[in-house]
Amino acid sequence: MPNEYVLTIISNIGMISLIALSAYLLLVTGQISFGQQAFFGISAYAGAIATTLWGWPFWLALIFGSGLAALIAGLIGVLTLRISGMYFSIATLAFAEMIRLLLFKLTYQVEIDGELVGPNGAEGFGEIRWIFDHNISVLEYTLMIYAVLLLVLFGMVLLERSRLGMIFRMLGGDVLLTRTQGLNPVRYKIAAAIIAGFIAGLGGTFYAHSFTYIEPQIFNVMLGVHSLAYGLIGGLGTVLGPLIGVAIDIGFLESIRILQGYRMIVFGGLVAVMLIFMPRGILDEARVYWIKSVIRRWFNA
Amino acid sequence: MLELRSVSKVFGELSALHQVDLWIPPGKVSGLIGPNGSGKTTLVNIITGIYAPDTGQVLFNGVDIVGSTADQITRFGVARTFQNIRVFSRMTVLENVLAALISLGDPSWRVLLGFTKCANDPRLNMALKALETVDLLNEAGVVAGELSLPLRRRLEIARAFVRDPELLLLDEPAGGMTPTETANVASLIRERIAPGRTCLVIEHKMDLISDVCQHLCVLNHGEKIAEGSPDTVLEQPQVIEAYLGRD
Amino acid sequence: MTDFVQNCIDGLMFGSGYALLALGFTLVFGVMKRLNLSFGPSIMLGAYAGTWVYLNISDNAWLVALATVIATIAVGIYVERLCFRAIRHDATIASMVSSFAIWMQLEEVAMHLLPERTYPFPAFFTTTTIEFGPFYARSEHITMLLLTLLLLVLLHVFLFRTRPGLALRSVSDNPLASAYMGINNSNILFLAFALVSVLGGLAGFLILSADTQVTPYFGLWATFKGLIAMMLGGMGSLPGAILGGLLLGIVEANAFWYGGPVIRDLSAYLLLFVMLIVRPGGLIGQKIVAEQRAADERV
Repeated sequence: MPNEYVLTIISNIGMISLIALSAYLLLVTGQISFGQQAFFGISAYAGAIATTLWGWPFWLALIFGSGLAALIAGLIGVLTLRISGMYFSIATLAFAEMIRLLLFKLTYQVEIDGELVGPNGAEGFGEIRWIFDHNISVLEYTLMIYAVLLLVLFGMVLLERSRLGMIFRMLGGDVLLTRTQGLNPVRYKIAAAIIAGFIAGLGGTFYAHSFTYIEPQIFNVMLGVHSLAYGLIGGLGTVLGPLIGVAIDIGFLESIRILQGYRMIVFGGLVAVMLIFMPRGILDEARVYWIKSVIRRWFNA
Repeated sequence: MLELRSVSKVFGELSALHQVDLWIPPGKVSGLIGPNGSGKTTLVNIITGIYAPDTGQVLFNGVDIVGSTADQITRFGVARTFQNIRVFSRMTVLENVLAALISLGDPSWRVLLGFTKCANDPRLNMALKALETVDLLNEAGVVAGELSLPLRRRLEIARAFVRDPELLLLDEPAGGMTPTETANVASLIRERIAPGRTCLVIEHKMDLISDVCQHLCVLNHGEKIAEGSPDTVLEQPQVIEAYLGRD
Repeated sequence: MTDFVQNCIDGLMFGSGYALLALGFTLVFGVMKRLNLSFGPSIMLGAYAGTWVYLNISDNAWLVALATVIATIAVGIYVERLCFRAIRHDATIASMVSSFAIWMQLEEVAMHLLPERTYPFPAFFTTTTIEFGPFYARSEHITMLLLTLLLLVLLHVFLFRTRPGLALRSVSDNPLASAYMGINNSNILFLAFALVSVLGGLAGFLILSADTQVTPYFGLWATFKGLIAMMLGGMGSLPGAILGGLLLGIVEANAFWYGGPVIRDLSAYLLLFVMLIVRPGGLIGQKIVAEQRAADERV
């Protein structure tokens, strides 16, 4: 039985992978969002409120939190339809900061067993005790996270092979060219925003219940830039890309003792260097095609 | 088939097109020629909906398409290639052609969620046939960004005609090519693409035009200066003057 | 009503600091068409150098200012080399993300260099309150406003009356043509960064000495305020940067008065968000947006 420390790292990798996949999906459609942490945060608060204040079962809270995040993501997608490039990125940044600041103002407390529970502005939201109240072990919770992560990965692999996935990649390549192939980008951009918001939301609710305490400061720009960086480092050619990025950061860098306190320096430098030499990551599209062709030849031989 | 009436377009202080009337006859290869800067590409962009003209009408099969978006116009049956070649450089050759077929038949979400490379999919066969026609079948799995220039132009052509468009616009299909390559493109268009199709070729290379076109239209400084069969048009003094300058 | 006008006055004072920061962003964007998101942290490290000088060498405010500016330039060069010079000219987003990543790096460096939460910064000005009618203003803010105006005049003279300034403007306008005319774009880029670092360093010094302290949050704060001010006024427009800074100052002062610190920051971001959606060119720069769009869609 692996010890709790290792399991905690593994579960963190799982949860952060979800927000990384969210940013990755938008990156593939050519949109660089600095704001996925907003949906992570919205779902964290919503899902935690559902279980802690309203007594909902976890899976319902998960759908609720992620659904709310997806809805808001869709709304933002509609609002930002006409802007692209740098303007879009900064708009996502502005929006995410607005959400973070609104969370500072969010006070919604309910009396449970004689105590006031619920989000309390800057003081955060503690006592998210669903896991403990239901005697879920760390191992079981980690498995829950990975069950959902695997479902998401499976869905994204199917998406990659589908026409919708191809449209996403077309948008990431050349929006004007996509139009002249007879496709109106609007509905697909919104679809991407909704799906990405939902995936980030899944991570958020898990996060709130795992750490049992959340506060607005967690869902800041740093988190957003990290989620982007994972895809940029690991590669934009496959869903494994962002997972590799997360593993490098949380699995590798976080675990090396000497790097304690210097992780950001290394990570930030790594991103900058990658953007110079491998701007689409380790597993970029070209490399993925190459790997696939090698595998195909190996099977045919 | 395609008629332009009094189309004008001004960019800031530059009058790119001025009261241009045009008629593209169905079933033939027409050419739109003129020196650089005469407004040819602007005209093509207006036809394909990249931007709208300031005045005038663009009638496609009798219907005015001014104000329609580029994707709508493609669905009406107009396909084009680009002067400075636009391909999805991170996708393979086959995927580039499949991309053109996605919007065929106005797909529902069920179709959109289906796989792009199903063996029984008629789209896959259409794509493969198109690649065969332009001799790119062997390169089907190559990433488009790695292709040489002539091959990339062929890919663009395949992508444009795979939908069997009513009107096929080829914008400088021989741009940047050597005379040998130009002749190859000319024979490709003349023998395999053009038969049974309405094409509009924009070019300023005379050898391609005389090889391929049955109807010509000449622009200079944003105005139409001649229109008709190649023999008559190319003899007219103002056309010669536009290209070679005054004596 | 008096409150509102007073807030506007306060806002103008603060806005001048924002305007300086915005000018820094705008100059970089004007020359390179890319955003440097490490701008704030660069200034912060500069300020940390200044504070170190203040604590260990001398409390002469001029010396501290000099140290701040020099350190800001040094960090600016590092960012320029890594995030901008090394990346392809048209990969604008890559540079932006890279500078964001380096911001993470610089923040951690700052935390290691000076682990305390706040450090004192010399007060450059004397603090008195000047009253006129029912309104009042703090003298250090007025001094900051005046110094900002002075810097703006100097900047204008540099850009429009000197040869390096002319080179900088021509590269901003048309890098290719400038290259053909023998202007070395890399040198100009370097000059732009150096100039911007000087501006930033001075802005940081002025703002922090009015505050008499520097904290680790300054880097993030400076970046966002400068960015918001620039985008409000219009990306790439120098007068726009100033207008944007002043507008931001006024909005924030009023929001703070009527709603508190969170509402103040919220208003700034809301204003930015709405502006980006409705009029990405900001107050002045719509032409630049149109040009950019046309360039992107060039067929």
